[in-house]
Amino acid sequence: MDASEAVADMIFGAPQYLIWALLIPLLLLLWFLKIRRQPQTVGSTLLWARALEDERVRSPFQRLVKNLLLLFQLLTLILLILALLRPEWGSISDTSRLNVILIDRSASMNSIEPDGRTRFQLVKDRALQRIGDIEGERGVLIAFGAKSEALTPVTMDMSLLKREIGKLKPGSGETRFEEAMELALSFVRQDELIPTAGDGDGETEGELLSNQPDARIILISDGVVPEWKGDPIEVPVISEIVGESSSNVGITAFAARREFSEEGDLKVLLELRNTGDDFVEGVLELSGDGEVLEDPVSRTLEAGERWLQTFSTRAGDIRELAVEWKPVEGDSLPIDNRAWLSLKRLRPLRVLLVGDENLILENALSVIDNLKVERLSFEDVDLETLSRDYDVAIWDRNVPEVLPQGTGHLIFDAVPAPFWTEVPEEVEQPAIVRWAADDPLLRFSSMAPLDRRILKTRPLPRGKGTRALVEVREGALISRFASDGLRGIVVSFDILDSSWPLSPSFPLFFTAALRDLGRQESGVNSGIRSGDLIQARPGGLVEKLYHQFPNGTIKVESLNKDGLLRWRAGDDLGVHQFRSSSEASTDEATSAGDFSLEVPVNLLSLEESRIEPRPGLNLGAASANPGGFSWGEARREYWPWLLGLGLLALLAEWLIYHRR
Amino acid sequence: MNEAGSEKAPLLDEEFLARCAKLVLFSRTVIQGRVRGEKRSRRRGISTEFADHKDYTPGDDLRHLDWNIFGRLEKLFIKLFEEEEERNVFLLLDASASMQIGEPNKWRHARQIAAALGAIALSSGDRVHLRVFDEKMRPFYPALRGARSVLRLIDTLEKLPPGKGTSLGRSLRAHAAACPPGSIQILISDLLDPQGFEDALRQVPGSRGDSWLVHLLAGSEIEPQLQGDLRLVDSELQQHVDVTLTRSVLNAYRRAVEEFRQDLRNHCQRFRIQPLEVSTAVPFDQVILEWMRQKRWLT
Repeated sequence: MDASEAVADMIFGAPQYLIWALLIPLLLLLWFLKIRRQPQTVGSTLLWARALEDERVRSPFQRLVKNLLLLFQLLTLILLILALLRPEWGSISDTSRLNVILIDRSASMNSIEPDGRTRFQLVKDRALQRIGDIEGERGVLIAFGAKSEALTPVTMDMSLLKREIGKLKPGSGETRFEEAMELALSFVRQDELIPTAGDGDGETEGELLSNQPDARIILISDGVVPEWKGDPIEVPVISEIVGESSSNVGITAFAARREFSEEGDLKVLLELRNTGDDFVEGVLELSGDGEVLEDPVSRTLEAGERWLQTFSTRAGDIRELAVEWKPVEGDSLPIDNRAWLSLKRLRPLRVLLVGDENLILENALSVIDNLKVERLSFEDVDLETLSRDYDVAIWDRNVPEVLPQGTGHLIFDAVPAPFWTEVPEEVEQPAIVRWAADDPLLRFSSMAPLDRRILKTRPLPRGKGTRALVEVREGALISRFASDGLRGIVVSFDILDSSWPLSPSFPLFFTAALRDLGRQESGVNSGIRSGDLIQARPGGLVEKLYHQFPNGTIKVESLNKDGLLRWRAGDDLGVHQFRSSSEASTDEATSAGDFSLEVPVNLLSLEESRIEPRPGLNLGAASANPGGFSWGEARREYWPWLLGLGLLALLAEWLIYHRR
Repeated sequence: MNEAGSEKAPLLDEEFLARCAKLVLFSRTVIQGRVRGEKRSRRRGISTEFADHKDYTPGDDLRHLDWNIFGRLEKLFIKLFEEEEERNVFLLLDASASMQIGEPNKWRHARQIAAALGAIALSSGDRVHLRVFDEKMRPFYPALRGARSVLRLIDTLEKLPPGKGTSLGRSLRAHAAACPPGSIQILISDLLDPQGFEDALRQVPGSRGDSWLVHLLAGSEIEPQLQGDLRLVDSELQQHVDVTLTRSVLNAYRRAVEEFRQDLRNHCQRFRIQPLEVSTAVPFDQVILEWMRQKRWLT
């Protein structure tokens, strides 16, 4: 049934009580028969007769006042009988209409509005208003942000919805609108199976709703939601957009990587955006474990400006890296002014250099930090223990017929089997056709210095399980291979036959290749966002972990039966620490067997930092503004009102009687 | 006073009577009585107070010759004296049924006032005439004279049977016919006569002497404490009035009482009658000893 076809009429829920209407003639009868006046002897009625005559002249409405009592008594009786009849008014279909109320509690809801209230408070107020409008209908409340959650079942008890709204607080995550809308639509689809409210005559009772569900979705948000790309929504979506504030500067990106330079061993990259319409002045401050690391940077960001800022610093033993933007005059959304990273001390990479003396390679290995290098001749290599003792093996000009698994192989001027079985033809001074700049090995390197600078090479053809990283017309100069537990990188020329070692790209490539093959983590945990799920396996006999929140509170997290920690980030931004011991541990203690995991939870969302309300939500053809919808048309029972009015009429009658 | 206020107690106690003996009814007019008394009369005669002379004529009492004038003028003059005569005080007591009503009771209050005034009059040598009326004037009681008659008067008043209806005009016409000029007429009544009080007052005009009106209403008649839906039954006519006692009706009644009193004042002025409005809520001794003295009815 279409909501627009709803029939608005009045019915009585309990017509059998009409029999009480017999009291009306009874009251009239009593009224006219009633007054049995008490006889009272007076000396003379002379003065009383004069007084009554005077009263009649002065108050011609006295009779009406006397009858007013009757009128009020009749009114009381009629109202009480009407209340007994339980009159209902409104649309039958509206009674069964389902209102799915979606409340946005994403990070942008923390914005502070010009009146000092948070935007989320405005959302709650609007939601309460709408709940008042749908009194008598059915409703369900869904809050969405980083996660979507139905806070109530489908109910006609609007007080339940109001109570849940009262408890709600804004979140710290991104808007996952698609998930919320899917949840809302699932309620709508389930509702198609709900029979309509029967009118009690047995004919329509139990009738199922038609294919068009009688439902609507009420979305209360600031409009900072992604565009809906799902299927067309088959029910009306009423968008209620709240909020005014737009001035905000937020940190939208925060990353770091190990990079060895004169300034330090850690390169920090930051992105800030001024999403407002006015310039904002502030100071950016980088700190490690609570101590300021670098000189704060003052900056004025123009409206809409994107600011990229890098810091090079020495990480040392720092475990928590934090950055904070301190606006001079404050901004509307404080929670995007801070971000965190956690750093982990790297374990030394074990590298075996196999081959004759090679000064280039040995020198290159000597300048790379945190390596443990050994050199063996080709004949002295024990292939069986290779994977146990080394993370990476560097094969210079010779490679065994069968490469051992479990170790990364960096091969110079040799052809590893089984990926290549034949030795390719030699090519002199090849021209480079392309290189894979998207590969982590070459991301920061230019291969242009190799163009026609290699005296001779044997370019490898493409094959199964291989990928060309640097290509010449005849094949690949540098290739990756990975299959069946084997992995490695082949440089198919002798670096001594090229000028590559003189190019900056060589140490970058060499370092990246070793770390890639050694599968060494960067030691930088850039963290997750609110609502993200992490899993960690502490191992050993650990059954529970102590979870320390950013504010210092500690909660015990139980592991599942597989010894796995599954934790979904909540609304507490900052670094969360999970450890197996109740006391905070050091790296040394961790290596002694204790488990420790730091997880930064950040906002880092341009969408959430862009807090300007966006009224034009694109939710498909079904969306509309609130003004286009009817409110409060649901069938409602009016007996409480009638009862109240009846009691008021009784009170009025009592007052008139006693004030005469 | 409490004792005197109860129905079975004597109308007046001895103490009050003793105080009454010191009071005198104050008349603005000279009275004429049958015997030489203490009060002045316009009739000149033989008394102690010289008034005038007249030529001697044979038969005059030679004891009243003015020998001083004869010595100077050698003419015979007889001294005339203002004759002191007793006054007639008429106590006109309304005994109609409407006087039996009220709280405190009007009938006892009226009799107490009548007894007190009568006692004062008798104590000061006046002749007291008790006239009781309801639908008509009851037979006249014999006139009383002398202080010894006080108890008799009180006894008569205590034994007075209550009456029924009221006919003020008719009753007082009977009195007026027998009332000599120069008398003090004291009318004690509530004047609640359906036929009005004008004709009644016309019968006791102040032009014939001193006319006093004690207009007596019960406290409950001036400020009724009634409420609810009542049927008010007239004590005399057996008629009734149905009334719902609202605030406005009570206000209208109060206005009616005030208009009634104002109308009475106007008529009293017209007939030269001195009115005194008395409520039974005020003790009768206060009325006698304070109010009447303030009005210079008593000295």
